[in-house]
Amino acid sequence: MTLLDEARPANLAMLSLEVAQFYYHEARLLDERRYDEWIELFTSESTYWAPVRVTREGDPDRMQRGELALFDDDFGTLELRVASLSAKSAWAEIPPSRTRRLITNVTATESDVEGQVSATSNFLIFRSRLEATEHTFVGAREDVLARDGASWRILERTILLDHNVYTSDNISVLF
Amino acid sequence: MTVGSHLADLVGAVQYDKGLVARSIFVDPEVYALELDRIFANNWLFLGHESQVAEPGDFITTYMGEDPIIVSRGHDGHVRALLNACRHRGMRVCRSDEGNTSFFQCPYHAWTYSSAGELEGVPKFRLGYAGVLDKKEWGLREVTRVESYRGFLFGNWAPEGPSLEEWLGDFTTYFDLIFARDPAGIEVVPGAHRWTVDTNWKIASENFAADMYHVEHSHARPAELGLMQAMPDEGYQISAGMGFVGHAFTRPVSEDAGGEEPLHSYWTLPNIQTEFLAEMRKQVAEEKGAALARLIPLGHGALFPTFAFLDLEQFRLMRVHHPQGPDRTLIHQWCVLDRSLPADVKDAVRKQYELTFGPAGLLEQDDGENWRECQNGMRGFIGRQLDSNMMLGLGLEKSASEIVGDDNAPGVAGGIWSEGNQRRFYEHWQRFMQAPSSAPASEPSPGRG
Repeated sequence: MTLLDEARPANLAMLSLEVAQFYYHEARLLDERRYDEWIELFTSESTYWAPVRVTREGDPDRMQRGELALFDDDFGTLELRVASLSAKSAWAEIPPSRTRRLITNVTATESDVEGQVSATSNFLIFRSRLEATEHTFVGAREDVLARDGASWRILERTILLDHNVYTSDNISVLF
Repeated sequence: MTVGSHLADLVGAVQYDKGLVARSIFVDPEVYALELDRIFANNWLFLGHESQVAEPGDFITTYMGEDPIIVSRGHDGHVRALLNACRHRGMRVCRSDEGNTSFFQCPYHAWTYSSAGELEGVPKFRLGYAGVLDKKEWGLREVTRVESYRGFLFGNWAPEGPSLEEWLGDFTTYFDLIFARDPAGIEVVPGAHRWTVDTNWKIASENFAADMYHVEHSHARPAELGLMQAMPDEGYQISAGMGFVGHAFTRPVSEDAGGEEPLHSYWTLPNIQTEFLAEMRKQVAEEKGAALARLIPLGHGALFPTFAFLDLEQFRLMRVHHPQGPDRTLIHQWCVLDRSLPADVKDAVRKQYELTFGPAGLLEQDDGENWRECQNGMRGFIGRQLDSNMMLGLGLEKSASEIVGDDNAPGVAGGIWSEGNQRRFYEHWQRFMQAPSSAPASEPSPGRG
């Protein structure tokens, strides 16, 4: 189905553009390590989930709540992760990595709940640290966003990293 | 000193009585090539837990050294470890992490093997191979010995040598306290954390062989966040059999919060398993005595060479360090639960593991950075000629029974600030590197003259 099949294609296109602008802003906050501003984009009810990707015979895309995840955070643990990146002893990020987030393929559709949208996006995150230590993370995000004045809050985020084995010594970036 | 191609040079590489280990053993490709034979083809290597291959046809894939391995429960109910390489051209016949199947078919020329590894299907068998190929002789290469201890499966290529239980030796006392305290046994959370760290496998393994010394500084971050307090000076590092553990001693809660049960009090994360572990301690105490029961949870631990675990009040994990060259290690790590835990506690334990460990864990992030940079510091021409200093606690070691306060605690022990375990880890390493290999590394193919 394309946007043209929708009842209000112009409105939907506007919505996707608006959400994309929000994602560019969010990516910039993370790339500039403005974590205190980034965590403000969530609410006390937000969830943040990144299941591990298992290559299962005959069932390659099955992911289930309760199975192992890279992140299975509520707002409290997400706040801890953010605080940890600013700690004086965060050796994995001292000196800080240089990161660049590319956010693409943004779609947004109205949800059944007033003021909420379901949004999807793809990401490529490049991290370079120290001299030539370079890591790349690629995947998709599925969000439930809630309108908050001129901006949005992230109510639910699912991160589908495309990696089975992460070829990085650690993952001290947020998605 | 330098380790070159001459085996004689290995004699002095590890001087465990002096706490010296030559750094060349972490970076030299020739030493690494010899390790794949003498360490990885001559030891019991962790394969998985029986619950991961519970039903006929269930399989998981892993590695032994650099060799890809399928752990498969055949339709005869028997668990085998098979080299994941087609006997025709060597292609991996199974390319999934896990699943259930009745056969493994090579995608290249369609040679097809049963879940027990027998060669069953060969295209053009009558037209092209008539009278030449005996299928019985061309099954998947099977790992020589697979044995299970408390449901933990280990494989060994060497046909001779100690059984798994003999090899574990006295360490079974501690292994049981970690993995068999719940009479119902353990279960593994589905899914694994899998990632590579650009470091030598020994750097990762010796850390889990109970490097308590690194915790306060490497993991200052959780302390800064208020998740951990300063480490106490009372604790242990114990080596027994082929295994190692190390942790702070449990402290009675009465010192902290008015209760009577012991608790590892340097963590301030919610101790969600406290009641359950207290019950386990009570049961273990009746059978094995209070001093051993009080060790639960046992903290950091490892089995030589690459199986490791962490047993904390908050969660428990197990992992294996697969070598991928002298300067890269592939980690497979799982969250392990006692089967009798209530479902909501299991869920909370898993989440505490995910918050603190795995590649994105608040503690584990810093380990990966540190280990990679150890490798970078040892790589150069001068750097590799230096020794690593493993003198912590040298001359201060006692019997484990004295440290634990129970005659039934086997092994040699240091206090919490000791590298006695690492010295013995490298003593094992040296012993295996100097012993001739008994693995059938070059078993001839059928018909080879």
